[in-house]
Amino acid sequence: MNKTPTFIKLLLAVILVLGIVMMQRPPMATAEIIKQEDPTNLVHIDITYDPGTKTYSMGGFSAEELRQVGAPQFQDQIWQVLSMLDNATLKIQNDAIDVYTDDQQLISLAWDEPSREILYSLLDAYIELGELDIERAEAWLDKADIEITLSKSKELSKPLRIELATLVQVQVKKNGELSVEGFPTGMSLTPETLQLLDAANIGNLKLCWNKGVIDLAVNGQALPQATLYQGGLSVIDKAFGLNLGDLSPIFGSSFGAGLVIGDADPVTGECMP
Amino acid sequence: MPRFWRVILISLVIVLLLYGIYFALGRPVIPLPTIPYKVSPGQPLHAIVTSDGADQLKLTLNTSGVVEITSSDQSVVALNYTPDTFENTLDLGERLLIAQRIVQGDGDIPESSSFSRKLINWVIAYYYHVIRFQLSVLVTALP
Repeated sequence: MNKTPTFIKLLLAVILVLGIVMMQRPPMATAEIIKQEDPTNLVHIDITYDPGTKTYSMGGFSAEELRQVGAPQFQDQIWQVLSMLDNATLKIQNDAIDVYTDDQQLISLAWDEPSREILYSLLDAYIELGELDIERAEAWLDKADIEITLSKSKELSKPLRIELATLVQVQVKKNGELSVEGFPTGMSLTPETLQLLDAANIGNLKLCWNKGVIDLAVNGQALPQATLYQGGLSVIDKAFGLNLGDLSPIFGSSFGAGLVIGDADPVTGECMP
Repeated sequence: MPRFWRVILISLVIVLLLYGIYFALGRPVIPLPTIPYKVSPGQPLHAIVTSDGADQLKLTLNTSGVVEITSSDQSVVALNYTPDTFENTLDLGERLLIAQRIVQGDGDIPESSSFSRKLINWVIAYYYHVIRFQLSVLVTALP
């Protein structure tokens, strides 16, 4: 028998076998990503205070660290009130606001949609809120889980816990003025930066921080995902002399922002994985 | 069949067979030898490399989509890319470069070559999907 058909048969057989192999999925583990059905804006702040030294620690930051960043000092009247309490807790969860003092419930208020509407109408009587702002307020408060705990202690407070599903909306007006959630910040971009963004046709930007993982999208186009490691960041801190301090609270938090320049389309979506 | 064609066919079969095994194994990353790079005191990189006391910094490119910087076995920063996000980055970089020239009033605005863009994207996609390598550069600070 001629050898030529044998080669062709062999080649066809190999191609067939490899074709079947390649059609199979590569043997790699695939993790199921469980998406949260109801994204929540979670803010847990722990504050410890010492009326003796009139110092306080908040969100894992010591009194000294807070002083360095310009945190306000309490007045004597506030210290008098705090010295009478062992602990106090404010909780906004589901449809209720609860206030506890010395482990006893002090107040419980309804925090459902009709209650919030009453609050908005009261605020609207004094401040011009507008329809959009109410919409934004609902985006923040509809699924809120807020807990502020105060306790008389000399110990360092627990690290800050922030997990925000709602994007902080930042708007850059055509003249460069910067506003956050509709509130003017008094800051503005330089005309050169605005010109650069305009010439590069950059309309909006979405930035998400999730415990060290940074996701960035420009005009809806995703860029590579960056991961900053807390231990590794100390290398950069030392190299550039940044004096970043303890970044544990930041590395335990998740939040995001949507930046819109001029009349570009607003940034939508969430940041939760 | 002429000898030339037989050799070609046999080579093709061997290549396909080897790639089939590689694919069946889940396309593991093939590590290439680490490239050493020494920096002298006074160079900008020297301060960064010596900052953690280990005097070493390793830059690793994994063509399966990871670029990582490690310092004494501690990860500093990692970038995870896909051919799509890489293309988006190139696109943004190019637009920013052109915009910078426009803002600075530089009349010589570079022309974008679609061929080179496609070639870069093809190379990135090839080494991402088909065959994967790991290339490392070990930066060591000289005393």
